[in-house]
Amino acid sequence: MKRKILLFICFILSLSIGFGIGIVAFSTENIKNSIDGLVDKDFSDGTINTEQIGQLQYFTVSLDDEIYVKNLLFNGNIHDNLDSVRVYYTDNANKEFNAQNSFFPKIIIKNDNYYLEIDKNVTAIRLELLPSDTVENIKVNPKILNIHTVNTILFTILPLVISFSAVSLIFDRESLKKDILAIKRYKYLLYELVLKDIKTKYRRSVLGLLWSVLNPLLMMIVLTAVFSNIIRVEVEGGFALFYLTGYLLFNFISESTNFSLNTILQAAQLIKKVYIPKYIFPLQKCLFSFVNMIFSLTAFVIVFTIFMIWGNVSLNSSMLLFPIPLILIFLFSLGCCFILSSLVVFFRDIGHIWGILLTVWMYASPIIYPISILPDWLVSAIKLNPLYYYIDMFRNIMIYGRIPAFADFIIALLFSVASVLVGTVIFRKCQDKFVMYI
Amino acid sequence: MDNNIAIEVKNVTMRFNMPHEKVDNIKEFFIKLLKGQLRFEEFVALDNVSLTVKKGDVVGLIGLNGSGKSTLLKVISGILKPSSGTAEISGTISPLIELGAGFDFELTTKENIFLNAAVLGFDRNFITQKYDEILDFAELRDFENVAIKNFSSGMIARLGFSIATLVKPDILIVDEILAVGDFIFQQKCEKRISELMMGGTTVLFVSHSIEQVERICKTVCWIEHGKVKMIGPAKEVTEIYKNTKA
Repeated sequence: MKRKILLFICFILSLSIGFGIGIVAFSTENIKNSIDGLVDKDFSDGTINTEQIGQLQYFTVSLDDEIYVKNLLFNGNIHDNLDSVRVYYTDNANKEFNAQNSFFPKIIIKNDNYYLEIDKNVTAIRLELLPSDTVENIKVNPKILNIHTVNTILFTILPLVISFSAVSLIFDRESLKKDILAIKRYKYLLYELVLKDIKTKYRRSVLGLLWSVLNPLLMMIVLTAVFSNIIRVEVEGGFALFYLTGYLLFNFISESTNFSLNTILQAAQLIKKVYIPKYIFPLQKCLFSFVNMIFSLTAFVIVFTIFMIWGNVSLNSSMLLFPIPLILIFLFSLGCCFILSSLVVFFRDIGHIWGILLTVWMYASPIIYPISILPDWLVSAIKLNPLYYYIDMFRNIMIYGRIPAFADFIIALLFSVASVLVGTVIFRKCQDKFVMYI
Repeated sequence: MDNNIAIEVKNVTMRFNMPHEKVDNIKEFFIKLLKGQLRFEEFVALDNVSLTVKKGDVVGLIGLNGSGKSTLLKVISGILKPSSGTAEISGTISPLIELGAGFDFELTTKENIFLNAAVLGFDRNFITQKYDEILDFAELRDFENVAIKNFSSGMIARLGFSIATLVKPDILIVDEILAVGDFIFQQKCEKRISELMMGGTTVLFVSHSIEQVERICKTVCWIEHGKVKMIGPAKEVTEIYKNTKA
């Protein structure tokens, strides 16, 4: 009875948190102006920066924040050759423009109004026109509705999941406490098991541990060759680093979940005959993969150093934040390992389908493509994928020298906590039955 | 729990579901679920068993094959969770449920000593100190770097017994494993068990050899069909047990 009341309270709280955040974010930025579905930010009050450089005239608008701009609207008189109107955009905090981030937009003219299709996440936009052109009253239509929809969904569902599993764990706290305290006694075992994994992985290979670094490097070279020459994917900061960061994180998830699929079955000999807290085994595999990933980060350091010498990227103080995405993704993966390793004991089918699901997951994560090349609805869909947040955070910190957006950080954190809690609940529900099924 | 009590088993019932066939894939599971064929036959291995063992006691468990002795030991050592009732222990426990429990048969003797000790919760330094003692007691010095899959059952029993007893656990569970060693090793084991008893270790001892039980144990618990039939001083219980058997 008490439990039901608690669950109900959690339910109401989560709904209000989710909708609260969603609606506040939505209303303050959008609802007020977007009734006609068009104009949101108005720059007619003099915030348009006009300057003339050589034969050309530039109109610059700076936004307060990075937002997704669907299109840009202005009125005035401009020359007839509309193909030569050029738009520069930037999506970093410094608001610097360069030729790489520029394009010739599609233009629609309606009653002396010019609509330029932008369709990008930007912090500032600059128009390049001839000196004779006049421009006034620039407005951009941020159309951030769909991104907030995703946030609303996540901010509702994740606290809901977290609170439900937390309630379930609170009612089980006595034995949970015992299990957590047991880690102290079994830390040597955990250490020995992880060490054994590392030793056996590279046993009888000449290069040994070096493969942890070589593998991602070689993968990166192959994929960079393909995606910069054959299929062109334009990415800020170059494809090599972009791919490498995504690959390292995804590889960790794929490795740890794959290993943990069989971990309980492999430990049958131990589980049947000695008492060991069973969560040691998925934890072991997850830690092992994590250690592997840390070794593999050397590949990133090497490539980054090379690019730094070439002048493409530079060291940044934001890099000091690098443990945050790594810890978050470790927790997320740990939860996945708990769920998979316990379910596979009862349904061995999961072991067979998981490889396919991982492939789907890989293509649903922005590893080989940036989300900026995707249409609106796909961006929203991808933002439901937890991996997006970890990879994006890691890239922002490591390559672009940006502090990740606060909302994205909170979502990543919520995903990690939810994963660990749900994993723990499921694993604890199943663990007493393991011994009869292995 | 009282400070003097090492093991307290209260009203433990252990039920097993015995499905008619093993269902371990999703397709079969749903087909059976839809057909309503997911029925299990219940098997009660332990039926409302209560047992209290004081610290330093040596308790023998006797009973016919399949009477539930090993299940009880597994419940006490935490491998099985009882369907109802509680089993509590105080202190460290060293279970020797079966031959080679917790060994990895691909690894060598040396690696297994460290692994098995870690399974029991001891760190590397502690075992490094005890390492020679363990090896000598098991008489396996010459086989230090041999994978134990090549060992005879007697050698594995010796190794298992040496590790489990040299770390001086608070509770030692011995299930039948002495039967495989030769008589010299059996004498050595008995000597070691009585040494541990002097040091205050509680021992749970399962054996089919009534003479051995009489010699080692003070108290004997007789289990039949999952129920405690009798608990009492060793002599009394074994006398009745021997008579019914015949």
